[in-house]
Order: sequence, then C-alpha cells, then structure tokens
Amino acid sequence: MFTILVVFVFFLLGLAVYCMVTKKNIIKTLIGLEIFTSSVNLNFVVMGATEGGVDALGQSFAIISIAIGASVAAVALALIINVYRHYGNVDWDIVRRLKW
Amino acid sequence: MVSPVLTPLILLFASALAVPLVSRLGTYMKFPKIRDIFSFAALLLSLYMISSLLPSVPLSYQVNVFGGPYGVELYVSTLSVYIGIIALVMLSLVSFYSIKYMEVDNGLDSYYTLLLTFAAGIVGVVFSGDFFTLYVFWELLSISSYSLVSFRKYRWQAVEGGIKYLFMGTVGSLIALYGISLLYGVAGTLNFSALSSVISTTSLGSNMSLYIIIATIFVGFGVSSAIVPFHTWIPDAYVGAPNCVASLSTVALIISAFSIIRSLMAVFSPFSFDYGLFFIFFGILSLTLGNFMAIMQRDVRRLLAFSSVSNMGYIFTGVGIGSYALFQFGTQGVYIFEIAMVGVFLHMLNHVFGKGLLFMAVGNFSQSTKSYLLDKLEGIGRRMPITGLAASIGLLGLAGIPPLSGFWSKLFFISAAGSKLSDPVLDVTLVFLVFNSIFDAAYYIWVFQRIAFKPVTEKSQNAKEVSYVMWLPILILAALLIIVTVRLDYFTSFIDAALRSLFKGA
Repeated sequence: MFTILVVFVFFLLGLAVYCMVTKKNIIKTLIGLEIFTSSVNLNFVVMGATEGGVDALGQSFAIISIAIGASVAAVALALIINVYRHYGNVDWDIVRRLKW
Repeated sequence: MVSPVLTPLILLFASALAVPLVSRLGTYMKFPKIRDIFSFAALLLSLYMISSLLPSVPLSYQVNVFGGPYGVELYVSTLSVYIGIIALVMLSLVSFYSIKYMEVDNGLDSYYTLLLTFAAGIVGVVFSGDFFTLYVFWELLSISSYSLVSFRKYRWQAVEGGIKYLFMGTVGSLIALYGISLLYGVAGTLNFSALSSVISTTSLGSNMSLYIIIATIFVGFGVSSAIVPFHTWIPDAYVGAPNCVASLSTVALIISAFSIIRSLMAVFSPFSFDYGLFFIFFGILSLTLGNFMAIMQRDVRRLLAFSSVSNMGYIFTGVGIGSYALFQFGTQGVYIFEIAMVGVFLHMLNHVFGKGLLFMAVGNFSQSTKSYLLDKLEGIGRRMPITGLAASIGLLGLAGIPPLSGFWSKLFFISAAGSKLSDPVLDVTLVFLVFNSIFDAAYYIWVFQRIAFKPVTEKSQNAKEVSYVMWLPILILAALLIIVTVRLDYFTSFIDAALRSLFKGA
C-alpha cells in the first residue's frame, strides 16, 4: 500500500508539472499549482504512516500546509483578477510586456 | 512568563494586527501618520529585543505538544541573531523611508500590516529549529513579499512582476516541501539536531538518495534567492515593486540563502556529504551571468536586480568553497571553511546594506526626475548632493574599492579559493572569482561615474534634494557601511566565533 501511494504521489506530481508547463491560461496554471500542493500534502500523510498507526507530525504538517496553500491561492487569484483588468486576458503569452 | 525567544515574534504579530486599529485612531485624531510611526516603533522595539538576546545565546524554545524531538522548536544561535539584526535594521529604515515615499498611495494599512508580517516571517525563519517552523514562517514571508511587490496594483508592471514572482516562488517552496516530506519519511523527524544525529549515526549517511533531498532543498530555496537558472522573476519583480519594497527584497534574498546554509549544514554535515561542487557550480553560473546581464541594462532597477543575482552568486560560491574544502580535506580544510564562511556572512551584510541603500537612492532620484533610465539620470549626483554622496558610497562599497567593506568580503572569497593551489576545482573557482570581481568593480564604477561626474541632462537639470525623511535612512546606511569597514576586525572575529553554531548537534 505504501509503495502504491508513493507512486501515486509521484504520478500526481508529474501531472501537476505537465499542467503547469503546457497550459497557457494562468488559471489553469494555478490549478496545476494546487495539484502540486495537494500531492505534496498527500506525501506528508503517506510518510507519516507507520505500522501501528499514524505519526501526528505528518498529519499536522499537512493541515498547516493546506491552510498555507489556500492563502497562496487567494493571493494568486487576486493577482489574476488584476491581470485581467490590465491586459483584458489571462494568458501567459500576453503577460510578458516587461522587457529591458 | 513568556520566553525571550517568543517576545519579538509576539510583538510583531500583535502590532501587525493592531495597525488597522491604530489607523482608525489616526483618522479620529486627524493625524494618519501615527500608523507609520507605530510600525516604525514596533520594528525598532523588536530590533532591540533581538539584539538583547545576544548575550544569552544559544537559546531554545520547544512547543512540547508531541514531546521529544517532534515538537516545534525555535532555536536562537549567534548567527541567527546576526542575520536578524541586519534584516530588522534594514526593515526599520525602510519603514521610516516609507513614511514619505508611500505617501501617495492608498491602502497603507495593508502596506504596514504586510511589512510587519514580513518582519515576523524573517524572525521566525532565522529562529527556526526544525523544518516545520522554517516552512511555515518561510511561507508567511513569501506571501507578504508577493503582496508587497504587487502593492501598486494600478500599474501593470507591478501586477506582472508580482504574478511571475508568485508562481516561481511558490513552485520553489513546493519543491523544497516535497524534499522535506521525503526527509521526514526517511528519518521520521524534522528537527535539525535530531535529523543530524539520525543521519550521522545510522547507515543512512552513505545513502545516495539523500542527495535528491539536498537537491530539492537547494532548488526550492534557490528559486527565492535568485540563483541563475531560476532568476527570471527578479528583474520583473523589482521593476514592478515600489523602490522601498525592492530594498526589502534584498533582505528576502539573504534570508533564503541563510535558510539553505542553516538547514543543509545542520542536517547534512559537509564532512560527509559532497554538495560543495553543486554550490560552486551554480554560484559561479549566477556570478558570471548576472554580471553579463547587468551591463546590458538601461533601467537602473534591472541593473541592480542583475547585480543582486551576481551578489547571490558570490554568497553561494563562498558556501560551496567552504563545504567543498571540508569534504575534500577533512579537518585540514577547516581554515578554508572559516575564511570562506566569514566572507559569506560579511557579504550578506554588504549586500543588504549596499543594495538596499541603492534602491532607496534610486527611489529618491526617480522622485524628482520621474525616470529610471540610466541615460536620463546622468549627473544627478550634483543636483541631489546628499543622496548622491550616499549612493556613491553604496556603489563603491559594492564595487569593492579597497577601504570599503565590499572589498574585504570579496578578498575573503578569493583567499579561500586560493589557499589550496594544488586543487583544480578551487583553481577554476579562483579564476572566475578574480575575473568577476574586476568585472563588477568596472560596471559599478561606470554607473558611479555617470551619476556623479557626467554633465547634467535636461531631466536631471531641475532635480531637487528630497525631504529629510527620504535621505536620512540612506545616510544612516552609508554610515553603517563605513562603520563596518572601520570595525572590520570586530565583525570578522564575531562571525568566526559564531560559525560553530552552524553545526548544532553534529
């Protein structure tokens, strides 16, 4: 079971990286970021599992990390709204005016 | 009785919460600046609290919820007090500077709240004794920093710089978090001293897979310290941010470098893990590329951003030389390690004070000329003598002109790399270091020459010296740089004595 979960986390990480690298839409990139956060949290819970039960540290780290992920997502969404106001679009191809 | 370790943190969090209330009081009293003065006072008080910890280090505070080595630990070493003092001096000066500089903006309640949570994040990161605390406070620092960078959200530059910074920084910290979770799975704990004893006593010490964990932690925090393959956010974020926030970001850079040094050296002893080459490679890469990119810029803020990349390159190369020497030569390499690490911590001080000074000076220049282009700012030093004088000291200090302290930290790196000439890796590092220190001295002096000696352009013709609120912090920073130069022996012996606290539990 442990191996299956570790492999599953790895699969999720790959999915998140694929999503973040290939998608041009900023919101889709944010979804990729959220998948990344969830897979790392899952990894903490998996690593905390022992023979006789679960370790409290991994669980509490996962909970704190979920809260942190939520606040990052909130800041990111607020910025995306502002991107839409300035550029009229949420696409990484357009959000690259800063040069030299 | 509250532990003295907790008091600065509690003070900063409490004052961050109190800022909106104080602001209401200010509107009631028709004196809105009371909020600015309140934040400045809170930062000064926490600076005093941290420096008063210095006689009683090492201090430790454990939250014994889970008992034993599992609990959340705050650990104060001499070096964390040192870095904390540097960071809080810079933050208080920036807070003083913002009284005038941020006057034009709305929503300053959230600005000062974010400034104070940023300070709390810094104090938490430098005091952390385990990865749990480190990560939580690191994210507090980062989230405040993303919001501060895009604070002027009516400018598209701020939004674009902020969103790039947010995505890169968050991916970086998630990579580090994945490494931390693997480390937790391997060792079953996250406390630095418990981890180091687990790793050095069991057979894990020879495990190659631990290098994957080292790499994830290095890459994760390396994104935020802008080493080269991950540096693309830094010029955009600095162009977007208000200038006082850009000076804050120099603090965030050294804090992330410090957390890499602190966590890796405490957990993976450099005597048995060979990550020095890794550091040297990325350090030299950012050193050289940062310098080459910097001379091509026309915007002063982008130039300073790329020179930050090259300064972080110096710091990483220094750490690399130190840990490489310890791994290769064992106890014979200790003196190389000491020279290199004294250089690293001295350079952190020079980088924060010098670059923070320059960003504030650029803020003053742009306040009176409304321009950031280097061509337009020529000769402005003569129209704004005080800012020009302080900026010249900052530029010459970072250039490494002999009496100033920037020269000594570069000399420490060069002499550390040159102290074992029989070793090919250190020889190559030496060549790159000498080449780059000449190269960056050249372009800093070039900028200095254009600001101070060139004939005035029509943009800088009518520039007037700004209010004392904006030149006083810069002058204080310039004075600090000179004081460091004069009392260099004190600083080097202080850092040298503090270095053993890096290997807590080893």
